[in-house]
Parts: sequence; C-alpha cells; structure tokens
Amino acid sequence: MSRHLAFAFAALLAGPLFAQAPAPNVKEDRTLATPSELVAASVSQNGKSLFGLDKDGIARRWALPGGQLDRTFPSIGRSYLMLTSDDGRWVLLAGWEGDFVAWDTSDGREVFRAHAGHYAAGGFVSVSVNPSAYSHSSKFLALAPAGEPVQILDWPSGKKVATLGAPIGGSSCVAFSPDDSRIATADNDGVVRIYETSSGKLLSHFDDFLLEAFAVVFTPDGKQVIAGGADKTVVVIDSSTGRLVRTLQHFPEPIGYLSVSPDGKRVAVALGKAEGLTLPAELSVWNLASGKKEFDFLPPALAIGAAWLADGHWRFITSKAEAVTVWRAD
Amino acid sequence: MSKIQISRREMLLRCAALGSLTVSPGLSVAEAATRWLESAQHAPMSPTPWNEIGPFYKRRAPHSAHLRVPGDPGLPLLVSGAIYATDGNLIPEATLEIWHSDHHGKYDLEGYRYRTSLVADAKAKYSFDSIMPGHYPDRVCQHVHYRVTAPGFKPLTTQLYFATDPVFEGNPDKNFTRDPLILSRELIRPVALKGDPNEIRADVEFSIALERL
Repeated sequence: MSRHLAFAFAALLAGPLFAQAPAPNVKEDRTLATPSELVAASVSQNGKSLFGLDKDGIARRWALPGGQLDRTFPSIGRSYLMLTSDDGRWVLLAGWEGDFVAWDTSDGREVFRAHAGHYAAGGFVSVSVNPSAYSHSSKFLALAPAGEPVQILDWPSGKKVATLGAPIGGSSCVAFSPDDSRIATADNDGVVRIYETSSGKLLSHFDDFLLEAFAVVFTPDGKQVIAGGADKTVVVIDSSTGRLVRTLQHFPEPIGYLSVSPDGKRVAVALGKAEGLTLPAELSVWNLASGKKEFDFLPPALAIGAAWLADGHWRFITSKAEAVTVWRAD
Repeated sequence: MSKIQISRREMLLRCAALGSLTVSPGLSVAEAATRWLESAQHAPMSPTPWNEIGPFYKRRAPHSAHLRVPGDPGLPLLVSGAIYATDGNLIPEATLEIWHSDHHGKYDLEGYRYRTSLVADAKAKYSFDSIMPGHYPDRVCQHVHYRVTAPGFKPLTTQLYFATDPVFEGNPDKNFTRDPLILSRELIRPVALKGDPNEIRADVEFSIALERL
C-alpha cells in the first residue's frame, strides 16, 4: 500500500460510536469541489484556509468559508507529506525522492528546497502525525528525513540551527512547545525526547515505551508532553523531567495521532489498527483533568487531516472523488 | 620455468621460516597465517542499504535463534549470514535485533513472537530459524526487519526481502520498485528450497556490511 495512505486513519460507513461514551455531534462544516481526490489536507488555525495535496503531488489552497481555489503549487513529483504552518502562511511538501520544497502562500513563491538522502519520515499511522513541523511562530522548521536525525532550520532563511540526537531508526513525530523554545520527538527506538530548540541539547526523555512512539504533543502551558504509540497507551509526561505523570488509558490499538485543544482541557486521539494501520479505527476525545473519555466514533469516511481550531472545536477532513469535506466533532 | 605450486598458507609459513615474515610475541605463525588468509578473502564491500525501521520494533527481544515452534503455520525459513565491515573484515559479536510478522502478516505487539535479539558468533556469523512472513497489509512485499549494532560502527536498520515474493512475478530486477519502500535491489535475496518434500524449508543468505564510525 503506498505510503501516502498512511495519513488516512479511518474509513467507515456508519457513524456511530462505541458504548460507554455519549454520542458525539459530528456534522459537516463545509464541502468543496476539488480537481481530484486528496491524500492529505489541513486547515489553518484561524479556519480561513484549507490546504489539500492530491496523489499527483499537487498542493492547492482554498479560501474558507467561500471555497474559492486561490493558489495552486507546482508538483514536486510523487509526494505524500504536506505541512502547513499554523497561520497558513507557509506550505511544505516532501516527496518520495527525498525532496523538501516550501512556498510562501501569500504570493506563491518557492522559498526553500532541500534534498535528503531518504524520503521524509511519514509515520505509518494516521493523519497529521507531523514527522516534520513548523514551529508555532513559524520561526523554525523541523525536518525529519526517514531514519535520520531531525534538523532544526531557521525559517524562512532555511539555515540550519541545530541537529537533534540520532536515535536508531529516526523519529516518527515532532512537536514544538507553545513558545517554540523546546521540541519533543517521538522516536522509533521507543523513547520520547525533549530538546532545546536553539541548540539541540537534550533536556529530558521518557524511556518506558517498549515499542515505537508515534505521536507526541505539548500541552498549551508547556508543562507536559502527551505521547503514545505502538504500546497502545497514552501517557502524560512532565516535560522538564521526562517522568511519567499518569497513564491516560490502555487502548485496543496503537496510537497514531494526538492533539490537545487550545484551552488545554481535552486531547483528541486517533488509533490505527496493528493489523493494518490505515484500516478503520476509532477516534476519541478525552478530558485531561478527569482522564475520562468524552466521546468516540468511527468517522464517516477516510480522514486525511485533523486539527483543533482557534474556535476550540476539533475538525477532521475527508476526501472522496472530487470533493473535500471538513467535519466538526463535539 | 616450472610453475610453483604451493598454497598461500605454505608460502606464508616459508616466509616466516626464512625471516621475511615476522610475527609478534604471543602469536603463533600458524595462527597469524590463518588470520591473514581469512581477512584477505573478503574484498571491500558496499554498506548494506538502509531501509526504514518500522513498524513495530520492540525492545528487549529474547535471545533465541529458534523463532518457529512446531505447528506454526507458514513455510519454515532459515536465514543465515555474516556481519562485515565495509573494508571486508568480519565483525564478531555484532548485535542483530530481528522481527517480522506471522504467516498472516500480523505482528505480535503484546509478546515477542517472531522477535529475537542475536549476537553474531566469534566468526561474525548468525542464523535463525522461523517462518516465511506473510504480507502485512500496509506493505507491498514480505519482509524481515533488522536493527544491527556493533561498537565502532554506524547502526543500521534494514529489511530483507525475498525473490520468491509473488509481487515480483519472478522478476525482482524489474519489479522491485512495486514496493516504494524498497530502495535497493540488493535487499532482495534468492531463496533456496531444501529438505525432503515432506519437510521443505526456505534457506536465505543475508550477510550485512556496516560502515565504521
């Protein structure tokens, strides 16, 4: 199965949920026509732009809520990974041949191009795993070629700022702290590491996973890191010490995606089935204070992107044939 | 002039006797000659190509070369090889962590089925018996994962593929790119079927070359 499908995390026909949690309110936010089916998508945090990548490696931007296609970026060949900055100003594509290319979306200029020895890390599971990522202020870009150390680049100059540690097997996911001063990596040796962004100095690490860590995210106050992976647990870690604060839950399947709400009160979790990480799998939202699940469900179609927006609501994105739909789940 | 026919070993021993070859104290001439001949047998090698680690690497695998238990479904498999440096020298006691899916393409995440951590022997050789892995749904080809480490050498993650995989339709040279994660034809190894018809086994040789740090 081609790698770009690793960004889809569920496909199912029926909506409803599993027992023991209230039914979520899942409703269609917006559906737009697209030239072709998308393989990856994202929405800017202000909800004003939708980005989509199709299987031919062409990225496009649509203005929301109107849905006008207002920017098309040149194809870089086969591509499966698209990153956008929180504000939607920058978009980066990573290709199968090891190319990373970025554009300024305000005028469509190409601003960055690099070639790595291998294709970019893309994780095997779910949407928005962020194996590479822009920092929240867009001051930095973290790039992770598969199996290689993460490179921190100054943005938009592209100059190297730091190289992080070299865990055997590289990293599956990176996440900047809210103030961009630190970066956490979910590494394929099972360790979650936290570094100082400007120097690459290792500050702390969590070493209790036996299997690969696939997802990592900081809480909005920066004090904790939430991580999960093939061990099928979601853990809350003290970001200063690397010590376990608590285990949220043991899940039936590996964790592929984690995202914390802007108010820090909730975390969205997407699973991936071990027997095939792109098979239909549960999405859920949890209350971090109580540790209780608020709801879970199987999305109505294959999801190719997800995020908490500034309005505090969680969105996920599906695409079929020549349309893309943004859904809201509460 | 008649052609001189002596073995290289005999030549070395004669050199030592005549004083044109000296050996440090504590090392016998015979042993030194043996070591010289062994190291000279292997020409410089290209490093074994990288392949990505995942999914489902798991730490602390048990140290057992016998992954197959009686009754396990799937074609019995024996994989063996040696670990080299790229200069052709052998690397004794390298550590190999190896894992793969079961016959149905399913990985054991809870336990350690089809997972092992081996140490190459004093001659840098390793082997394990298992079953031919099935096709994991998210991958195109059957494969076995390796994570190889040795002091002084760059760690390597790679994967072993099988020339008999139906995906290649008998022609891995032409069709190996059907799996986008296979970056080198070198990782696809020929398969020899051995044993009697009632107990057939697939034998695969997979030697690995590591780069020095």
